[in-house]
Amino acid sequence: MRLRFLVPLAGALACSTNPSVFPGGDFSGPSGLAIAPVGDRDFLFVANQGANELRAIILCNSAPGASTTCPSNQDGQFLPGPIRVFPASIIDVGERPLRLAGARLVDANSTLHGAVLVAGLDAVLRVVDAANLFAASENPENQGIAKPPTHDVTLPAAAVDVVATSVQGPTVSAVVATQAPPGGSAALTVVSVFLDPTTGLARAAATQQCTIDFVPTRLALIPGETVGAGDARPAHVYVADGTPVGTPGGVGDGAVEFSVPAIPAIAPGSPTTACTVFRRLPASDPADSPRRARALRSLALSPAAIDKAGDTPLPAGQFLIGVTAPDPALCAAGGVRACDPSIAGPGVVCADQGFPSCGGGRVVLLSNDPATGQSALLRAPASATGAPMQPLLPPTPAREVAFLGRPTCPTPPCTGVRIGFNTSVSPQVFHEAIVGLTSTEDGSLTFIDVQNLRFFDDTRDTVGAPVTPSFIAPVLSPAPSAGQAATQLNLAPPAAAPGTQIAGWFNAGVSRNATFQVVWHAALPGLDSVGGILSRSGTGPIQLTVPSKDLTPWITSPELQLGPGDFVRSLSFTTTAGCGDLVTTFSSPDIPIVAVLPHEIDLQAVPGFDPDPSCFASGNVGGTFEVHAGSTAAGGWAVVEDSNVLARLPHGGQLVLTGPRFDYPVDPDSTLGAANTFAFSFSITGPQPLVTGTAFIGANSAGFQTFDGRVVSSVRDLSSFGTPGFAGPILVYDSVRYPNDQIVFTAITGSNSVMRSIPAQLGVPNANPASFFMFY
Amino acid sequence: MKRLAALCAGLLCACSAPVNPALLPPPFGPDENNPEPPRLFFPTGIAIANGWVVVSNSNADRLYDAGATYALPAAELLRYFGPVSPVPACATDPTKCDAPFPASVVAGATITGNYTGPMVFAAGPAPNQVSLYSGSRDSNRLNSVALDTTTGQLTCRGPQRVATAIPPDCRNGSIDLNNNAQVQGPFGVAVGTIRSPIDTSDTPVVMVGSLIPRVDDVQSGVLLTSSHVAALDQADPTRVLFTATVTSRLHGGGVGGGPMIFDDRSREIIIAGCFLRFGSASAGGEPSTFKCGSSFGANSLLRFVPMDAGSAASTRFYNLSAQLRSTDTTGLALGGIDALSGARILYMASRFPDTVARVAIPADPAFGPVVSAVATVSSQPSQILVIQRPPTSSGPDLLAVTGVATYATSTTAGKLLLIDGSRGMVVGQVDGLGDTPFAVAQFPTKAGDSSAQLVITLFGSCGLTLVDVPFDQPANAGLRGRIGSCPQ
Repeated sequence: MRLRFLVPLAGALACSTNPSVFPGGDFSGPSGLAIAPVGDRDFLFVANQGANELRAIILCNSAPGASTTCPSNQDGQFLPGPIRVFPASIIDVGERPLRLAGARLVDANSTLHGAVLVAGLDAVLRVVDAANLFAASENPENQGIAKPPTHDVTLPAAAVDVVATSVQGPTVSAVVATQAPPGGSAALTVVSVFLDPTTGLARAAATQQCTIDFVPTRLALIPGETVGAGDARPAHVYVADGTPVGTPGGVGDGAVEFSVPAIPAIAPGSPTTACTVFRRLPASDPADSPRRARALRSLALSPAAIDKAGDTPLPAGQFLIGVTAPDPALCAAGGVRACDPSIAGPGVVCADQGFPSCGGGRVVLLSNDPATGQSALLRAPASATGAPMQPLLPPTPAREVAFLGRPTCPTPPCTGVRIGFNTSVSPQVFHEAIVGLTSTEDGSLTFIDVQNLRFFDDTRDTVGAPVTPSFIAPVLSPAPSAGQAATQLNLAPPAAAPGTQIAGWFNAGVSRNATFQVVWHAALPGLDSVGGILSRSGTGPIQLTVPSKDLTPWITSPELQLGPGDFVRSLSFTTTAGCGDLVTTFSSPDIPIVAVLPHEIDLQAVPGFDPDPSCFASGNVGGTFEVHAGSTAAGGWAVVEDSNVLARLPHGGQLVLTGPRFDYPVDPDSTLGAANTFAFSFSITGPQPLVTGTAFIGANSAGFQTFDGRVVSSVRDLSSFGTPGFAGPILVYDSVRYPNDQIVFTAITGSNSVMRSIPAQLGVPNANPASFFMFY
Repeated sequence: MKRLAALCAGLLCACSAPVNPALLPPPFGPDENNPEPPRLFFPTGIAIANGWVVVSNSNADRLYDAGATYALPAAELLRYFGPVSPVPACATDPTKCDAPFPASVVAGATITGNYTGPMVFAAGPAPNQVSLYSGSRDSNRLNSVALDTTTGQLTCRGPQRVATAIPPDCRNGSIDLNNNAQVQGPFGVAVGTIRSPIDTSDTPVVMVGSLIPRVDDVQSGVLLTSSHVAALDQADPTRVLFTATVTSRLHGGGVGGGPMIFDDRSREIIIAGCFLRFGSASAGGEPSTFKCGSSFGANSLLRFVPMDAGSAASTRFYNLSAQLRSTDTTGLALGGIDALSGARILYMASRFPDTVARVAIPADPAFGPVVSAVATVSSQPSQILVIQRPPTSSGPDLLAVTGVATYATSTTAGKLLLIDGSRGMVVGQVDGLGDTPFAVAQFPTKAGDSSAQLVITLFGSCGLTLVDVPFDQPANAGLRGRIGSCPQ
């Protein structure tokens, strides 16, 4: 009887003709990951979105020494297709399968009979029976037969995400979030996955459904949590709220916890009603002024765990970790700011570095107590005021998050991560109750020290070296002539105020990796070549009319402050001039600006540019000019960080750069003032440069660099294959086969690969299994 | 004297060689006396103007001496879209989509250059005409073709002798952009209105960017190169108004560019992509041109050229490498203005890894472009089209991105990816387009339309693919037809 149903599955496999992706990889944009157990094997399913298929990797899961039907030569291998040298391509899973959830079903014989739920681009949740798939793979001769009818679940709209409880049983509950259909609302649907008593195949049915009033981006369950009292449904589901431009504390801020039992049962013919029992977990900081909503694009809940001593249990769901979505309002949020009264003074210019990546890709950590309904951003570790911690930013923006941690293991401590394996002379294994994980844009899996609210650091955590920001002293280019005193860029001297104790006012966790140029009389961006019509009345100023360009943004920009006292240099003149006064030359005098209007720049005549009014008699005499910052009150220096002009700075003045805190890498030290946001400060002294464009730059690069001092602990494929990056979903895997280690699988979407790492074993020679492996 | 005349005649005879027969493209050849019916051969650029679909054939395998541009009535392709319900068989089974190229309805055809890239169009020169422009990378020429919007007839822009020549050969009417404007390998092309310093009013222009860096000098075996963009008068596309330097040996590494668009708000050309000349590898004696790949820092270098500055334009460079890890930008498209921040939205399709990124160009000129969202995609993206919604309707930017899917050695599984620009995520995907889809064009919409009707050139399949994209349900986008095929 069973075999009859295996045959169609074999047919499905036989139809799986999608070949490997050139140059020999087996993945094409891998994304979702899920585990489905079948007897003494676990199958790691990978959503191979580019090929509209799934791949499956066999993981033998019997205890060491126990008898098993899973030979070791299958362990870690792809589930084979009909032609055994090729991996099976599991098709008919819809367009662009993206999110997966594994269901740990148990059949009547108490044997694990796993299934995987597949969510893609269409409004269907598909069920793939892993047991039958495996049986079909074992009987490749049964191919070419029609596949069985599917038992997919129709959804209100395309799915956003699907999660299933990790509790095994004859029925497993899952929750699907769907997009808002046109004119409708997004929804949550509870799905019951079970084995069809007739066919023995896994199938699913939607049982509960309600609408939600925000944009769901991801789902998460508290690992192992159930309603209890014989009800194996998860008690809560957490939904990341990705609604853009949200309200602090409201829609578009953080995550929302929903009571699963309270989701109304589906009543055929009745409209879906709104979810009513929910609790919002804001990710914004109430202490921020102004407070900004933080939409999330990924989240995870902590598992049950025990502390490193192995005696204090940590309940599941105590922490929530999330990744912020980009906020359009933060794309250009840096620039000139009013100085704090404590540092304000003549010549002091304050500016903020703003948020990289529009504020996206930062990691927020919240405490959570589903029982009492209390949750909040964790407190900053060194804050005397008890202010909430700022989101953590990895070296490259975060994409997905997860937790390491488990409540039991043969030999506690149960959770560890080996830090410094690749960079330190003395790598060390750190045991914590839970460890945060985040995959990042450069293809890394990065480790978060949840207890200390910071990233693990290869240097600090292994050799004890403090995280100290630094910079490479710039050089002046062009260098002054021999015997001429040089203009100097001086780090701000140490002071008493919090955050100013170190020269340059560097602060770990605030000062970041950046490249600076400080340019004397710099050309203003966007005005480096301005063409217009020239005219003049009498001996008055020469008018440059630019009818097609609105200069208002340059005039009103606090960073640029285009105005009188700035100057232009001519690049060219048209040949329509009626005199010889306007000739394009290689060198132009500095022509002062005496007035600026939205479509006009008035120029003061100077030797070398004093055209007679008759030159303009034709009415179509044009010129192109380069507009430069002059030695005005705004400042003759332009401070450029990467592609952004942060401020103009008067000669002799002091620039104070602040920035958003992105880590807490130093041990709490109240004398340093953890709440400060000073990032970098310097002044420029000495003689003014004689050459326009003189700049402080790096010795070997366009700019001089500041460094955050961190060596954030992470693991990634360092080969050329792994360079592209864009890591995706993370799956933490426990197996009795490797009882002392948790294994982490990470989909590296951008480099068409899946990374397997064992954090506690990283860098350990001859580890079994290898502590790091890439599936390509 | 007679001897001298005889000697000259003898020398002339000795110097003359038999002329190879011209292998003109269909429908003009290859046998001029018995020409083949029109068919698509490596089509690249496409435009839909005033009821006509115009396609340029790039002749990439050099089977003929030149490429060709065809005009088809849009109605001939629109009939494939038909009713949405019941769902057309083609939508579920691509093998039922195939149809022969409708050679009999080709209303206009001209000979154009080889290796054409994207195509753009603008009104004029006559009231009932539209001009179409594309660059030919091998001959450095701009193909300028006039479409009679009443009859669909195509003629060549240029002097009277060119416009009336039979067969119409637009190569004769074009100018050599290398000799006249320092533009080698013209690829990116855009139309717009600028006002150079000499002008008191706006001038409609065609802007052409160079893909192949121009070798300015060779020092110790090192090529010193530059790239340029030329502005030509739409009224007379053989007239170069000016040439602006985009990159030089000192700025931007002298690299050539790929995709190019014109931002009509700032009147700037935006160029991406990166190409290098290599002195150590030659093609027919010329230093070869390669993509920069990951070995050169300019692979995510955006170049902004203010065209109102004319030939004195200074390029602004923004290197997005630190924000966008992809190394090969293949497509650009402009979105709208972000209502919250005032930033102009730019979309970039890039490869290695394959991504589509949304870039915000802040309203405050002090700040450079910032990558605000990245969607990883599973196919190598080529060109981007921002789908136009019907008049009076609104919604987030919906992007159509052609994707080359490479399986083993096959490139036949081309895709169309549909991306919600505001959320930065894939919301639809159409498989089975054919081999190496390239450019996308959208049929005009009208109020009440529920879906966008797209036509896509298939470079490798010698055809066009038609795709229907519901505005509100892009996940339900589907094939409606695959027109034409390569000769077997």
